[in-house]
Amino acid sequence: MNPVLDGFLSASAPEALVAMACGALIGLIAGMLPGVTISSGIIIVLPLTFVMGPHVAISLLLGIYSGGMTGGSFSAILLNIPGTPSASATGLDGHRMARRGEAGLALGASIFSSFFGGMFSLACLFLIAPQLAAVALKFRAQDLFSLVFFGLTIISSFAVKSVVKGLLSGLLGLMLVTVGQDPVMGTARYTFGSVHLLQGVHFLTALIGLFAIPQLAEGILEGLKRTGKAEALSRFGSIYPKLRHCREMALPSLIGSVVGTFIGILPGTGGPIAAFLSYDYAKKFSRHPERFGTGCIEGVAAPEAGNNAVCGGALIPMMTLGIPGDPVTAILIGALLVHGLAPGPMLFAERPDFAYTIIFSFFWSNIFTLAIALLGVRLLVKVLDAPKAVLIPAIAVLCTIGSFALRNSFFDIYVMLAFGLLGLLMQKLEMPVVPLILALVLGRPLEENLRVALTASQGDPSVFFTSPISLGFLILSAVTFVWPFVQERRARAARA
Amino acid sequence: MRTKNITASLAFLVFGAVYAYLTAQLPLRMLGNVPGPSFFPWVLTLCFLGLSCVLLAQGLTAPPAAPRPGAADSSAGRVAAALLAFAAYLGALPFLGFLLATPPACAALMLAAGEKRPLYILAWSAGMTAFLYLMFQSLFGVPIPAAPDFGP
Repeated sequence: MNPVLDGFLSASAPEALVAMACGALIGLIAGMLPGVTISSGIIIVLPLTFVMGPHVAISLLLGIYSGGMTGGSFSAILLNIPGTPSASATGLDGHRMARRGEAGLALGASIFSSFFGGMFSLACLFLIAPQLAAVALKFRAQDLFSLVFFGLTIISSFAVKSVVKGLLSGLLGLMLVTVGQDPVMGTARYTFGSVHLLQGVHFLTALIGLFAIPQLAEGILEGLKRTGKAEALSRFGSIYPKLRHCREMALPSLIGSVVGTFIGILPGTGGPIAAFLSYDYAKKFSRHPERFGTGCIEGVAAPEAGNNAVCGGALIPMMTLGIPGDPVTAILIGALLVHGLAPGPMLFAERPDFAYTIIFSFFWSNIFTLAIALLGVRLLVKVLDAPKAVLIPAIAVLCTIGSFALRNSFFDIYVMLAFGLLGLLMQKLEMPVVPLILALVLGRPLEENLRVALTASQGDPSVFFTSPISLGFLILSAVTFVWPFVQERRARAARA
Repeated sequence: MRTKNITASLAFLVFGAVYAYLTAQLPLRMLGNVPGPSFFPWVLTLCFLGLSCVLLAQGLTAPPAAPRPGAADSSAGRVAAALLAFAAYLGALPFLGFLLATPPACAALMLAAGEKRPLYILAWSAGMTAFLYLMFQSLFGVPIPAAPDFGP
């Protein structure tokens, strides 16, 4: 059968649709709660996905991804506290609208422009991903090594504050990945004779610990804080924009969608950058730039379209090259690996039906997010009053279940705790955690392709420079790595 | 920042040294001109130790930070207590099982988070344990840590 049709039918199966609706709801709630990230929302439901079919599992996770991006704007608009970092730009105008008594309109603009951004990036995903995967199939080991190395240069985006600390964090991740059997010859490394360590550290277990335990600590610090403002702001009038509002939102939404999709494709950038850039471009292209920052609907539409368009954009390198653009796509890769599906060029070659299932699941996720957000926004915002004391034990227990369920092993629970403590320690020492996460995801393919390429060339390292694809990626890596620091230096010079 | 950099670099140097010692036990080459299992770890070790030295140098040459006003440390104690409770929960799981180990752990975490109403804590801890057990084990068939001797 046609893989596109197969993918559509698989994504439209009743069980997948139910999972997507649940995912969108969970995502909206997780995104809305300040301090609960989309990654945490995904990690919480992760154990459930182990027993689901892969199409249902990916539907649930994409629902959370899409819903989370939209939900983040609710608290930004109502409380001026962004639920996710991606919603920070939305609060600039959204909260001013809310204070002016137009909270409903701001929420409606956010929901509709999020939907528009998501659908725009979906169209790009549908058109670009298969072509890119076809090109990536021609890559040899040296090209794949340079590609993965390029993916690792994302680290520089998270290490502008201290490049040395960012690199050390990434190297630490790469060192932890070497525990277990080596990927080429199967020699046991750093196992101390333990059967558990022979399998290596499952990176989902590590991710659960790295995300959940610092969050648990943060939640305790916040204690029983209740926001208390959501109740007052939940009487916000109609959320449906009028025709004139739609006209005002059209151009900023389009700008946000283009910027967001492009930013999403670039590794290491993500929602917050996309949202602020979209806001900035929408302001530059606006006939009334002076209205931005005073509570205008364009200032809500542009960043919301931008941060939701990032989702579809980020799925492009994830699905075609196996390179995660952000922590959420890193978790998605892990979730797919659990089901024996490795995202990358081979996904489109071996399981094109599943690749299209992912694309159509993202389509449905956007639809469900729109529907649930529109119908349930009045109820959903009441979640903002939930005390942390209720959420903390729930997160802790769910993470324990998730770690155990991966391989039915108590050992993984302790690994999760160890990574959690490592995450806390790194936080204390002001070390970025994202490079460590990326290294955990990319470490194994990096070593494997390095050694395969060197084995094939009899140990000759020039093989990485004689292949044009490999050389291209190495040059790109150098540029990507250096660029944030050049920008930072320029900004410092401008400030001085 | 200065103290943090020095502390981090010293910890990394110790970790790097142990990692290097363990790497030295691995075979460098197994076939002719082909890199063996220790090739990649050696590359990582050298980079890691080199960067740790750079961080140490940065820490030693940085100007001392101005003393910060002391923050209230009751919250730090709360976090430590919560982490201890969580670690104890994970340690007890293999012996007690999910249904017996989870309610006290939930209660401890709620107390650490500042919840003071005993009935609320009791009801929430027991209710959440039962709900999660029913949802994961019974409804979805996700394996939940079982007790070898007693418990679920």
